[in-house]
Amino acid sequence: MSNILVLNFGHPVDIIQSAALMNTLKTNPEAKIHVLTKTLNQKYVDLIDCADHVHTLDTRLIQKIIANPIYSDGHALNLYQESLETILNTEWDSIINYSNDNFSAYIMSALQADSRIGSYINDQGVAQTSGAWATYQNHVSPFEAIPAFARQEIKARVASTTINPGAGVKLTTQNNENAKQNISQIRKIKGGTPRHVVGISLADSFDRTQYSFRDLDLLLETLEESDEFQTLLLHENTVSQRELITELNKKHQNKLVSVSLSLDTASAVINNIDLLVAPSNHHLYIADALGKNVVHIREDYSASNHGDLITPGSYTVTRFSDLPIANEIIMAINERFDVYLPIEVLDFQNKTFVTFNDNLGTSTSQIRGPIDINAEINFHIKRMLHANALGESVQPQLVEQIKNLVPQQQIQGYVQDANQCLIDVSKQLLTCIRTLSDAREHQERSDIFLQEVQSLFSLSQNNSLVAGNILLLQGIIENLNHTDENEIYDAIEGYLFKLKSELQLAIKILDDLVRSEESIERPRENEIKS
Amino acid sequence: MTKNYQVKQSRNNLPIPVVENNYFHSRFNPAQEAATYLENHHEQLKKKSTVLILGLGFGYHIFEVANILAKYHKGFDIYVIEPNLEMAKECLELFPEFKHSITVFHSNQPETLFTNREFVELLLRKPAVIQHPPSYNYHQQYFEGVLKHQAPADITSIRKILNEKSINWIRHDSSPSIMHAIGEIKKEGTKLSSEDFLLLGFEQIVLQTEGNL
Repeated sequence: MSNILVLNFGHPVDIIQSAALMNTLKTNPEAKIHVLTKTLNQKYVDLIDCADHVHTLDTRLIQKIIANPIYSDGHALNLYQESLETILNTEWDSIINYSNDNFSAYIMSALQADSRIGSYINDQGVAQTSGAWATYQNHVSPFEAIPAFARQEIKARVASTTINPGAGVKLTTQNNENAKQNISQIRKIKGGTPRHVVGISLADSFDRTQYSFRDLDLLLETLEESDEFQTLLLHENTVSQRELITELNKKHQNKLVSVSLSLDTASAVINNIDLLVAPSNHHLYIADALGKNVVHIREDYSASNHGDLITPGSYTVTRFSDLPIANEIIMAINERFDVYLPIEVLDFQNKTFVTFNDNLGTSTSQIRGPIDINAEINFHIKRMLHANALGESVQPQLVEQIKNLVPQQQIQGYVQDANQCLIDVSKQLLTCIRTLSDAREHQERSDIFLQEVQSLFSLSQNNSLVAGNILLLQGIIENLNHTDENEIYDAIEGYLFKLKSELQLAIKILDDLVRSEESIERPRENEIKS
Repeated sequence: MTKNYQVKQSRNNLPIPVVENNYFHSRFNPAQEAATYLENHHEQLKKKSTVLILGLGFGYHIFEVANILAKYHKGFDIYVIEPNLEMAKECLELFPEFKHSITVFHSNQPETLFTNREFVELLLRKPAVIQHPPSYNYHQQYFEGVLKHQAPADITSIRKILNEKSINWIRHDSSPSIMHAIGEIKKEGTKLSSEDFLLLGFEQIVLQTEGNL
């Protein structure tokens, strides 16, 4: 039997989404998966099917005791010790720092385990990572406005596994069967052919994103007037949600169908609808973990690192103008169900992103709304370069896809700018390699080498195409724990040459982008001649 | 051992404790006195189902508090602080039902109460606090000591509270606080032990604002 401990002190989103990874950890049916989490978040861990044991730590109570001078700090320390006693007395086959926080990094090293996965603090008090993906998680991902890989994808790769949306959320047969029957009735509520049921979640969001009344009204009106859809308002029975439903019903002749969901029943209902529209709330992430397509509404895509979706084909609509986002939501529904619901605008002023999964993993790409083409090209190429740096095979057809979608002039402008940045990085990298040789031979020149390496690291701040590769190099070098000076130099030299090969790949991709443009031109000339 | 108080009978023939001519309940009708006094506490008891009463005496006011709580709550908890152990014991003998329905905390010194984990957990629940005026007035210094208590932060004082496991985690006995002792671990720069990692993890919980952790 193998004992796995997952440390998850993250946001409720992290906990719900971990369901899609936890089931892949349980490859051995006899493996026991334990989760250590905050008492406050136990209700979310309880949604996960594969969590055999949940251990909790009441961090809020500890903080309260410490913050109040009438209580001795000793009570807080006792509470902490008692909460951790069981896991301290267990020998673990592996411990995973899933939430990647400082507390978990220390606890990883306090426990007895055969393997430690993710970030931990070594006995010298220095942060260490268990592999390249864990280094990437700490040193590259936090600095990306739009991450090259979904955060859950990175967490899965850190644990050498994959995410598996559609499995891992607890669904009791009874609840699921009841929900199936009820939703089946709702499909037929207006007679005729059974309709697609679109759930619209009114539950409070984690990031305070809210629908405008105008958005909800327009969305409901469009869906309710069609012969193909039936809406279902999902709520938690709070006063404000009930008032909103009453207000909406006044406008829709009391024909709206709504259902109050507890955390226990939400999974079953969401599992039986066809699509969910929701802000960043637990309904959304339960749906995503269940592999259900969603339309996620957000105020600002880059406002928070939480919430990259993991189910391919899901949409994220972000408000970017004063126009209703309902149009973008309806457009997403049209695409998802291949229908033609009426849309008020064709020139979309809010941004829509789609979640996709390719051989590099799960990520998100903008498909509608005001777009920065250069940033978008940069994102896709950067993704290839990051994957390559992490030892994944890259996608050569991406160049062709960019070539087909982006005007030639735009590509040339992008390539010119990107090349200039690469030249700067290449020059500095060569300087580093040269000064490394000097430092090996003349110890007094090691400071010069270190300065040059720092200068190379600082180039990650210019947001160039290879900024992530430089950050990864920095993380890997900081993670080195050799004691012998020669071994350190050997390792650094190896990583510098690795960056050199990554730069060469970047240059080749840029060359191919321009060359492929030329190859497009030639047939066109032939066509004109013929 | 002689009792440090006398027991006299009220007009309606109920035993009442008396110390130095201080009557701990009405000489006429203790229950009526309690009902009158607690009339002003209905709102407070309506809002909270956990109550801490400062002073037990012979507990006539406890019955009235329980009656009021029962009106507003399906379940409720009554806790009492009584500095006079003899009086508390006699009260529980007089009304054995109290043994199951209330929890009495006793200490000779106010600060000793705060070493009791159960008492600390009660305070963290933010109970309604109600004085029993005769008890409070007689033991005024004691109860003021309870209400104004500040826990000592030094390691020597904290060691008296730590359990047998966590007591071994701390190496820096001269530190003025746990957080200072943890800071010392980082300054030492020596190889970190399992106990050090646990303390450093504890520090992370304390330093993090709610939401991050």
